[in-house]
This record gives sequence, structure tokens and C-alpha cells, in this order.
Amino acid sequence: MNAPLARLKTVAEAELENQFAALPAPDPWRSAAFARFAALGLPNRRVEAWHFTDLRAVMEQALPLAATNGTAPQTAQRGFGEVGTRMVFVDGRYAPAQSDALPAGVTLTRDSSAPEAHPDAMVTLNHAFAQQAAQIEIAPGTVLKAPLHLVFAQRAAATAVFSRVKVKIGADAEVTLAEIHTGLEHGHQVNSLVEIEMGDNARCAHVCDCEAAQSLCVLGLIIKLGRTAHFNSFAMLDGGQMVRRQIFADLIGEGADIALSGLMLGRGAAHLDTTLTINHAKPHGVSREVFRSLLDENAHGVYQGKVIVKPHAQKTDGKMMSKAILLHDGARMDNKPELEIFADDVVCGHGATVGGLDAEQIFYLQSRGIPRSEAEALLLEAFAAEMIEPVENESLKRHFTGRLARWLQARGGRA
Amino acid sequence: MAADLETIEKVRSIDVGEYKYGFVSDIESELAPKGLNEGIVRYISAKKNEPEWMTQWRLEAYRRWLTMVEPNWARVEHDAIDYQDLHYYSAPKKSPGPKSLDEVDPELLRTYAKLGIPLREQEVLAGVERPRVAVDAVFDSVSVATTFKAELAKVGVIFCPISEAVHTHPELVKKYLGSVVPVTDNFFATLNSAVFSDGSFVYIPPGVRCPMELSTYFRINEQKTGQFERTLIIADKGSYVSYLEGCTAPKRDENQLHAAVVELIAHDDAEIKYSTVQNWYQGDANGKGGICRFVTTRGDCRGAQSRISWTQVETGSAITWKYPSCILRGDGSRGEFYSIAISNGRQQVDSGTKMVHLGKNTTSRIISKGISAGHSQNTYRGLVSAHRKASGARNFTNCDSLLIGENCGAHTVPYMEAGNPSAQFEHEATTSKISDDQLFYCQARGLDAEEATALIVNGFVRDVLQQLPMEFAVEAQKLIAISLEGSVG
Repeated sequence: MNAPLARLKTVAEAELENQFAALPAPDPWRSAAFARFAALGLPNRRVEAWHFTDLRAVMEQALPLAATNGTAPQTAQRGFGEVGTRMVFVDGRYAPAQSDALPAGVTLTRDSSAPEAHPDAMVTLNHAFAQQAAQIEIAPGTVLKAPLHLVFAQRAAATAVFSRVKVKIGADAEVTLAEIHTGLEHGHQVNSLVEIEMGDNARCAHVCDCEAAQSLCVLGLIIKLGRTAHFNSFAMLDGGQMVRRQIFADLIGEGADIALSGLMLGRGAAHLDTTLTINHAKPHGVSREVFRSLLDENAHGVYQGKVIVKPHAQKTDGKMMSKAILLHDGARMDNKPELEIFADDVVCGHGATVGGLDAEQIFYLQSRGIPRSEAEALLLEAFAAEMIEPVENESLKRHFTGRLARWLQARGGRA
Repeated sequence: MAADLETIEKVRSIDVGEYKYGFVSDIESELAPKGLNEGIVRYISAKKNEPEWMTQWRLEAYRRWLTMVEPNWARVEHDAIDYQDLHYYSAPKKSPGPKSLDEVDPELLRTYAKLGIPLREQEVLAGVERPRVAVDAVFDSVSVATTFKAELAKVGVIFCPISEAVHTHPELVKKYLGSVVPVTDNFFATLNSAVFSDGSFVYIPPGVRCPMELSTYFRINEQKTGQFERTLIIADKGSYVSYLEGCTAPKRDENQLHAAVVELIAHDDAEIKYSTVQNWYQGDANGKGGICRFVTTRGDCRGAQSRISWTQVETGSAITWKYPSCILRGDGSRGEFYSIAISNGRQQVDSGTKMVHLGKNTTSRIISKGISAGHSQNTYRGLVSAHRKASGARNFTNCDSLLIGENCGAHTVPYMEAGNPSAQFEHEATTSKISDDQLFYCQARGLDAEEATALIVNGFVRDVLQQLPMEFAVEAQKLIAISLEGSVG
């Protein structure tokens, strides 16, 4: 038993293999990516980064790939803020008919160059399967007032969708990006990857919205920040069979600043996972990660954050916080805030809390004549809304506030 | 900053410093041949005159071990350990066992004197009203002398080498051995189960408050020996015991292996306080030599309202792999973990705790202070989990790291798994260097940089030092000073 046993393939792994074999002449680098994935297999509990999210167990089968050609689907995107430029991706492919005209300074091209090999199995799988990468380039110095909406819509039910978008933000450019995953009501398997490269002094405000309904989603975000670049992001994940959001951020320029936040709203048997790695490679970097979770019924929340400070990345300032409220006996939260520090002149900290609603706060409100169910709703709203507050774009903020209100309303007056 | 540079310079020049306990005692000892096989396991068992059930227990562990793979998840790097290149048994050679201290080899007593164990004085002072400590000294693998045995027997406390307990109290050993750390637990625990040579056995009967602190000194003397001691402490209903463990090992060039297992069992309302000061040889400035410790220590709060508290001061060893844990099974039980882990030179520490909340209204508290200097790596790795039925579980965790010098690393890997809505977990961790403001403040009041650093470091670890029993607190303070010599003045 000292020699590793030959790993048995699961049904889903075998299906993926067949699907890949059936692809018409993939680029050699895609074949290489698939070979790397096949060697890794679907992530499972024995892979440290996936310890709490056993994809191998959950993903019983690999759904058929969404057809790459077909009639233009009906408009799938919802009214998501009135202002903005929509770029719609249907089943992973750019759909110009539904998209708005691109503003000045923004270009869209197809990119088929080989990406850098990535250690994560699901990113590697995306590299192997994503038919084409859309590359959005924002010219240096461009300041976009209206947000760019990247709308990922799914068409046919029960299909697998792989999408990959690269965003290059030139030096001194400013942009708001809204990543919207929609049309997930019919049991899809989504593997999306957004890669953002930021030039020196570029600014990007990013939001991610995923109402996963009945789908299994793996949402990847790879960010590289140049010198004094600033990136902030807010994500709302809710529902779904399983949503795993993974962020890999590299602060490769001096003085880069990243702020990640998110709200996970889980009920039913939802499994919501946010896993992130922040890599401080240069001095004077700043990172803030603040995540909150509300978990009801049998929902399972996972937060894993890893802040790495490389040698010489002195004067790094890192703070990480994860708070979760469990609302039901079946709910569960796993937290793993990790620090890995190789430089001495740093200030890094993390905190994490898990608990139920504070009985004293409820008592306080009740003693002032507010019924228990309302008191709970108030406290939950306050807890969650605080995360949405920093979103700068008003129409996006309204959208998220509405989503939260709907979620809380659906919870009703249940104690 | 100038003061910092000065400190770093000093650390570099002194680095690991002179290892105070790096001497080799010239005592004839009896060695098992190198290597590990069923024959060696039987040889150890035969040397101990063990009954057949014990031999079988060991053999079962050995066979299990053969199927296991050495774990590699910890943040430690070391050369591959050749398990066939070690002596698994080494005993000081002497004909009949010592009946009293007078019969103990004077050379051995001198060794203890160098170690600072007040074995002899303690017996002389036995009648005097003073804090007293009963010592069970484990030299290499054999327990040499247990003092105060008679006095302890009066109140019904059993404190003896585990090899003796196998004969005198087989029913207790059979019942409890391996009940907290099962034979199959992990690679190193299983290895220990197969080849453990000695260690301490403590049983506190119901309602008894152990009249003195119990203490064991471990020391690895012979070259290329592994030390595999096994400690088993049982606190029956309503009893209390405080146990101290101190470890030193002489200077050797090759890495020596240490794989110990400690099992604590606390029944209803019982309390066990387990304190460790560990100062084993950490290797030289280039990371050559030193002790590799892979230790499995776990306590089981089996009874309601029971309590187990771990306090550790880890300053030595090239590699420390140690996670004193509490299984909070009894309703209302409490687990505590207080730790100071100091690493300097090329030391690697991967230590932490596990608090597994199973019973209702269980509480736990974790305070961990890591200080990392020189080229060392210091990792806190901990788990706090609440089972679905562990309603009212409560945990507070605080782990702080202090970095001294730019070549060291400090890492935190906490796992928090909450499966119950009424569980309340709080975790906070910080990593920083000594703040310039603090240093400036102290210096502005006339302290020099070294004194100021010392003051700040002492303040940093104070929460934990306060948890140590008096006898150990003094030693621990000295050790901290030695370990950080140059950086804390």
C-alpha cells in the first residue's frame, strides 16, 4: 500500500474524457491541459484546497457540452441596472446580436494563445474545454463611466458550459465590471473563468452575481495587479446545488491594493464555497478580505482564505475577516483563514466568527415591541446589507439590495 | 532601524547559541540492533518481560504500520528518515534495577545534576514543607527512578513507569492504553505503539487531589536511537493532577527521531493539567543535526464537567510536529491550550491543537504565541470543530506571531468547522514584528534596544507563562531568554 494505487476514474471523469476525445481538433495546449486535468482528477477532500467541497462526490456525471452552434436564443439577461454596456455570452460564446456596441477605448478580440498552466484542476479543465477565450482590452488611460456587464447566459437545459474571458485593463484606465451568471434554473454545470490583468495604476471595481438555482457552478477569477493598481470586488452567491468561487490574486506590482468582499446566502441543500489566495509578491501591498454568510436550513458554507506574503514583500498590510450566522440546526460553516508570511515588517491579521443570532440583540428589539420574526429579519438585513454598502455604482447596489430583500422575504417569519 | 539591525546581527552571530545541555554521558548502555522488524518488536517486549497480550498488541501495531505512509502535509522539511537505521531500544546497562537512588549509577546522577533535576535534593527535602515534585526520569528509553512513590501510594495515586504498570495494573493498562490514540491513529503513533519502550503511567483514584506535581524528564543519550515514550494518565471521577514534562537531549550530529504518544483520560469532574517544557537539541547553525519530533498528544474529556489543560513551551528540536488535542466528549467539559513556540536558527515548528466539541455546552480556549527568529519557520495549525449535536459549544482562539529578522516565516492555518447553530466560535490572529512605536516608547524611557525587546517579548508571551506551574515558570523564562539570545538580550 506504500505504492500509490492506480486511481479509479469516476463516471464523471470518464465522461469528461470521452467528451474531450470527441472535440474536433483541439489546440495542442488544450490537449496538454486536459492531460494535466486527467492526472489530477476531479478535486476531492484529499486535495487541501478542496477539503470542504468534495466535487468528485457531488458531480456524479458530466453533463453533455452545450452545442456550439445554434439559433440565437431569446434574450437571457435580466434588467441589471439601466446603465451599462452589455456583453452577452450565451453558453460560453460571445453573442454580438444581444450585446451592446462597445464604447470607445474597448476592443474585443478572440484569443487562442496558450494560457499559463494552473495548479488548480478546475481552472485546468476550463483551459481544456473553453472553446474560445474572449479578450476584452481596455486601452490605457480610458475611463469608463458606465459599467461593463459581462452576462453569462445559459440556453439549453442540463448542459455543461465552459466560458473564459480575459480582461486587460491598461495603465491608468478605470472600469466597473459586472460579472453576471444567469439562466441557471435548469441544472447546468458551469465552469467559468475570468482572467483580469491590470496595468500600473489601473482601477477596477468588480461585482459578481450568481443566483445559481439548481446548477453546479465553479467560478474562477484570476487577477494580476500591476504597480499601485487597485481592484475591489463584491460577490453575492446564493442558492444552487453547489457554487464554488475561487479567486487567485497576484499583487505583482509594488503598492497594489486589493479589496475582496462577498455575501453568501444559503438555504435548502446549497453548498456555497468562497476560496481565495492572495499573493503579495512586492512591498507595500494592501489586501482586505471581508466575507459574510447567512446559512439557513441545510446549507453548507465554506470560506477559505490564504494570504501569502513573499520574502521582501515588506510593509504588506493584510486583513481578513469571515463572519457567518447559522440559522438552522442543519446549517454548517467551515472556515479556514490562513496566513503564510515570509517577511517580517508586515501587519497581517485575520478573524473569523461563527454563531447563531445574538439572543441579546433579539431580546433588545423584542423588548421594544418588535415581533421576533421581524427582529430577526432586521438583524439579518443589517448584517448582510453592510457588505453591499461599499458598492459604488448605484444601479448595481440597488440590484444587490433587492436580491437580499427577496432572499430575506422568502425566509419569511420563521424563527 | 539601527536597533533592529543590531539585533539581527547578534542573532546571526550567536544564532542557535551554545547548547547548554549538549553533553554525552558515558554510561554503558544496552542497545538493540539497528533496524525494525517483528523480531525487534518481540525483543523489546521480551526485554520488558511483557505478558503475551502486550506483545500481540505491539505486533498488531507494527503490522499496521507497515501499511501506512509517512504523512507530508506539515510545513516541515527534513531528509527522509531511514527507519531501518535506528536503534529502537537503548537502556542504561545495569544488573538489577535500582532499588533506591543510592543504587543509581553516580554518572547518571551527575547527568541529572547538569540537567538541573533536583532529584536527590528533592528526596532529602522530602520531609520539609515545600512545593514538591515526584520525578519519573526516563533516560533514553528506560525509566530510571521514580521518587516519592511511597508517599503517592498512600493516597492511592499510581505513578510508575508504564513497563511496570503493565505488570502491576494490567487491567488499567488494558482498558485505557490506545483508547485515546488508537493503534491505527497515524503513522508515528502506530510506530510508537509497536516499539514504545517506556514512559509514565499515572492513575488518580476517584476524588483524590494529587498531593504534588508529577514530573518526568526525558533525555535521549545514545547515538542513533529513537525515543518512543508513551505516557498514559487517567484521572478518575472528581480527581485532579498536574503533570510536568521536561525534555533535553545531548548534541548529536545526526537527526534523532522522537515519536512519543501521550494519552490523557479525564472522567466526570476530573481535571488534568499537562505542562511541557521542551528544550531538545535543535541542530547547529546550518540546520545539521537536531531532534525530529513527531508527537501525538491527545486528551479525552470523557466525563461530564471534566477539564484538560495543555501548556507547552517549545524552544528546542530541529522539527516539532505536535498537536496536543482535546476531545470534549463529556457534557460541559472544557479544553485549554496555551502555547509558546519559539524557533530560531533553522528550526521548523508545526504545532497547534485540535478542539473537537462533541458534548453539549463544551468550551475551549486556545492561546498560541509563536516567535520566529533567524531562518526558522513557525506554523500554527489548529482545528476547532463542533459536532451537529454539540449545542452550546464555545471556543475562543487567539494566535499571535512575532517575527524577528527578515529570513524567518510565521504561518497560521486554522480550521473552524461549525456544525451547530448554537456553537459560537471566535478566532483572531495577528502577525507582526515588534512595533517601532513600542520600541521607541521603551527606549525613550531609558531602556536600551535589547532590554526593550526583551520586555516586549516577555509581555507578548505573558498570557501563557502565567499558566505554567511555579516550578516550571522559572525554567521556562530562562529558556526563552536562551532561545532568543541575541535578539532579546
